[in-house]
Amino acid sequence: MAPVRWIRLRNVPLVRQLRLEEALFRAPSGTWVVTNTFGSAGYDDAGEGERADGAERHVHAIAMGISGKPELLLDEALMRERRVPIVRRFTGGGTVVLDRGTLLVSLISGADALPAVRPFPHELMAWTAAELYAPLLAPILAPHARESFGLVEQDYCLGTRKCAGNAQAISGGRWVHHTSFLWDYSSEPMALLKVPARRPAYRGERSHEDFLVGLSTVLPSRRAFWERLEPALASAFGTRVEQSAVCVSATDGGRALAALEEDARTRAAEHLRVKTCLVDWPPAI
Amino acid sequence: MSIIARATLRATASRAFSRPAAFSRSFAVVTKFTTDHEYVSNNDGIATVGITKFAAEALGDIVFVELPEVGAKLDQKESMGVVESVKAASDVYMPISGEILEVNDMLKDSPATINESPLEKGWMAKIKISNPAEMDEMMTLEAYEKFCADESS
Repeated sequence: MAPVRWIRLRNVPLVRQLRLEEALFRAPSGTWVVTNTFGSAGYDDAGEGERADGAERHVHAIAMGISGKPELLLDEALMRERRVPIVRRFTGGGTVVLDRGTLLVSLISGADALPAVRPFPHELMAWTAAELYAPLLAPILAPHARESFGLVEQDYCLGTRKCAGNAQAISGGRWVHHTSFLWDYSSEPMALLKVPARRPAYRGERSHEDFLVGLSTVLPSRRAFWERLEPALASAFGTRVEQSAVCVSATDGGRALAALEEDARTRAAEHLRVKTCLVDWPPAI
Repeated sequence: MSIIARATLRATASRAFSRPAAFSRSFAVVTKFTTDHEYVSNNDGIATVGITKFAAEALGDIVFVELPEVGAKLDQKESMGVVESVKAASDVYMPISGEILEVNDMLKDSPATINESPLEKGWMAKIKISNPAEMDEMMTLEAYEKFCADESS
């Protein structure tokens, strides 16, 4: 059986990450996992989770779903002040603030690799929750973690607090499943978002603070999360995982990333379509 | 599949259409289904296409629909649009080759119509069929029902 190829990125601009994923999604077969984080290598590899509560964080980007309307989702005045790039994904789902407290994990696969998982939204969510992420997290959850990981409605939660968002694209038997894990929640960047009109019932009237929880509260370190990802992927997909070197666009001149992008475009060939784009908003006054 | 969904499918698939009196013949609307859960209702060479009740239920609440350009000539299996449910953007394929004559603009403002009435009000496009023989490979209602039952088991 073909391996799962894990492409590890760090500080790669979101728009390039998503276009890479979009090309791999349009490839006729193969399974890839693309991960990306923002911030220093030391922060990502640190044995202990670094916190940044209270301080203003650098927001790398805001990601919207394929049909997202910035005027309905984002605070115009704050966006005008902070000039945060907005990226429209090729997947569905909601709006995500990406900063160093975000761990991105994207799965790109299809019926050839997982014939038992039908390419429908809830089934993909249920499979990823039960077969990948719950086994990944269970062995490293801190003893004080009173609530277990699971799928609540359409969100990944610890108990009834959301710890990750997800979004998908599906085309025939192929699919992409994005997960954005919250590592350490900070209320400050969340001010960029309006409270969405459409909210899950289990959220009720809870504020962001009461509704969201970061994994840093229950995991020993980010390193522990990344170390558990490989065996969890191997178990979930029933095959070995081939891991690429960490690709950091800012330090390798972009050559490694460019090679990955070229390979992905070649695989997609005539099926390549690019829906991922930057959104120019708010308009100039 | 629910009893209501089966009834809707049967009603649509078996509906006959009679032309005005100037025409002596009457044309039966033939509805067939693809393994990607699209339907084609062929009315004298003009197909009404969309996604089935099974697909609409599996996708969940549809919040956005992207439709093809009128006048586009597309081959079978080419992407003709996207439906977005709460978390997922799903491609919709051309179930049959042809030219897009009309799209259902109502879906832009009311995408949930696909959930409520996929085979009636929730149609996505009308197509001038260029290769009617492609319908021969598609499933009848009975075969499609069995296909869905097998997928669900």
